[in-house]
Order: sequence, then structure tokens, then C-alpha cells
Amino acid sequence: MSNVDEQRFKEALQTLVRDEPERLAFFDGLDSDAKLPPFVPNNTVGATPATGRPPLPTSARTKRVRYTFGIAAAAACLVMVLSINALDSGSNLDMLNTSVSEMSGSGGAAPEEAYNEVTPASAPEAAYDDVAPAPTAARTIPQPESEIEELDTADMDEANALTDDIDTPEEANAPTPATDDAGMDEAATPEAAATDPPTHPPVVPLVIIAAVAALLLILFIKRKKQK
Amino acid sequence: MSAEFESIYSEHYAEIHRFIYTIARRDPDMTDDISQNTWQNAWRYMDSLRDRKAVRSWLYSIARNEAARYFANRHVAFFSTALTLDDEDAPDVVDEQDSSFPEALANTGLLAELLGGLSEDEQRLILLHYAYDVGLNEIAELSGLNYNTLKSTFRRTMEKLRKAARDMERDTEVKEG
Repeated sequence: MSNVDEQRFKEALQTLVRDEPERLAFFDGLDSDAKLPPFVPNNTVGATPATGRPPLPTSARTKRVRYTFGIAAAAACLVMVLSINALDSGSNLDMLNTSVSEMSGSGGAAPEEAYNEVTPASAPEAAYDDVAPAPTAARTIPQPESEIEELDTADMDEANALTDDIDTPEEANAPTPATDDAGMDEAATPEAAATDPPTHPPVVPLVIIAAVAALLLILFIKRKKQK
Repeated sequence: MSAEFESIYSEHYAEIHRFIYTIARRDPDMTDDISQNTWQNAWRYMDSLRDRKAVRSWLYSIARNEAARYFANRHVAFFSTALTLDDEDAPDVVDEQDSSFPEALANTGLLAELLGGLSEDEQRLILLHYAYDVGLNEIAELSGLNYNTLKSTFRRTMEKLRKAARDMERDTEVKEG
């Protein structure tokens, strides 16, 4: 067994690294056949260089920043939508409570009962559609008398019973235009319209935003695991 | 981009990239970041390079500085694992006098095989010091390790490599004999 000096060892190592790096398992992660990436001065990621060649691949740092911003933005959107939604629900609840207290104060029945009693004469949706545009238009909603005329004779008894119900606002406290102007005004005002069913939470955008946020989060976690 | 810079870039890119890859713990993202900054700085300060023959060492200096900045700013550990001194494979006593290099260590083919028997951090240590001429004091600075600790680790790693080389030579002699 003979020895060599340190210089020969050094030279052998330098030759190995410079000329035959593929023999070293250490460099296995480097693609020796990889094409020389184009160099773009001024570090303008994403800009088109004057040479017309594609820009340098986005650096890992930029990718990280984009991921972080993306997730932060998605989370902010989600929180914002949820907050608005919660506020909206809260205001609806307040409005409902106000309506209930007002109705109770005038000695009427609970809103649910009022709806139930009005329903047979005119569907709530149709009634709201007619009432919503303006108070003046609301006064042209189907008159109970004209509806009664359209009913079959076989249902006359039932219709009479219904008209009896409608014609007694003290019991129903329903917004019948012919007999109760106060109730009508209340139903026709924009504030009352705001309590209408169309103010349900915006479920679809919420789901989309949640899905996007989840997707970004999954990508982020996946990338972390790859590292 | 000037033609001169373009020729420097195409000529030295692979070599500098390998060096950065070694210093950057074989991390592709870290390597890309340091490499990008290195070439940006080379481009920016190209005019300050007076001796064009020294471009290679100049590029290595930029890469080293960029790597040092990267490790300092990101608080990234230089070694992926703690280089412990109680390695079971390492000889118990390091012979201070034994600075010989078995012949196998001068053969590139055998050397590649022998290096493969070391851990990743040990290979980095040897490659940086011998192949890339990075001083142990500089590696100690980069890694944040005490110079003496690093020197002991280096010595122990070299002894491990020598021992492996001697064993390999002995095995070859036995087979041939």
C-alpha cells in the first residue's frame, strides 16, 4: 500500500467534480444534461426579456410569496364573507324581532299564524311580487273580492270561510289592502321588503371561496411535503 | 445581455451551479435562489471585474457571499444533520500524525465510490474544502459551528475516508493475491 500526497488527492477530487460529476452520487439530484437556463438581467420575474427568450423560472422564494399571499387573500375573503353573512343574519333576526314585537303590540297573532291564514287566498310569493315594487303599486294587489269571484262554486263555502278570515284583520292582522291600510303600508315599505326570503345567505359564492381556499391550502401542504 | 457576459454565463454556469448545490445542502430551491442572485450580481458588477482571467474565482466569491447571506438571512442550518463526534463508524482515536493519503484516494473512480460511503454532510465538508477550496474557518462561519469543533469533525471524516481507502486496497490485494 503506497501513499500519495494531499495535493494529488485534491487534484483527483477537483477533476472528479469538474469533469466527471456524474460519477459522484452526491450530484445525482442535479440534471447534468439540463439545458442552460436563460439569464434575464434585472431580476424581473415574469417580464419578457428584450432577447425574446422566456424569463428565468420563477424562483422558489417568489413561489413561496405567491403561495402565502394567495392563502392569506383566500382566508381574508372567507372571513369577510362569513362576517358579512353573520351580520346579515343578525340584522334579519333583529328585523324579525322588531316585526314580531310590532305585531304583538298591535294585538295581532304571531307572524307564522298570519302567513298561514293568508296563504289560501294568495300565495306569499305572488303577493310579495306584487307588493314589492312600490307602495302605490302594492295597493293594486289582487282584491279579495275579485279572487272570490274566480273560485269554483264548489269551493264557495271554503272561500267564504277564507274571506271571513281575511276580512277580520283583528284576528289575522294580515296586510289586506281593502280593510287594513296600516298593515298594507307596513308590508309595502322597503324595510318590510328587506325581510323577504330573497335575503338568504349567499351560499354559492361562499362555497366557491371555501373551495378555492381549501385548494390553495392543499397545494401549500403538498408543496411543503415535497420539500 | 452583452456577448461577453453570455459567454461567461454559458461557460461557468454548470460549475458554479454544482458548487452552489453543494453549499446549499443539495436543496433545489435554495440552489436556484442562490444561483439566481449570484448571476444577477455578476451581471450588475461585471464592470468592476478588472482582470478577466480571474472571472472563475470572482464568480466563486460571489456565490460564496450569496450563500452566506442566504444562510444568515433565512436562519437555515448549514448542515442537514448534526455532525456528531460520537459517530460509531469513526475511529476512536484520531491519529494526528497520520496525514497520509492511500493511493485509492488519487484514483477518481475509487474516490467516487469511497465518497459514496460517507454521509451527505461529510461529503459536503470534503468537497467544499478540497474540491472548492473553501477554508475550514469559512465553513465554520457559514455553519455557525465553533472552528475547533468543525476542525475535529473534518479530521475525523478524513480519517474515516482514509480507513475506507485502506480497507479497499487491502481487499483488492487479497483478491489479487
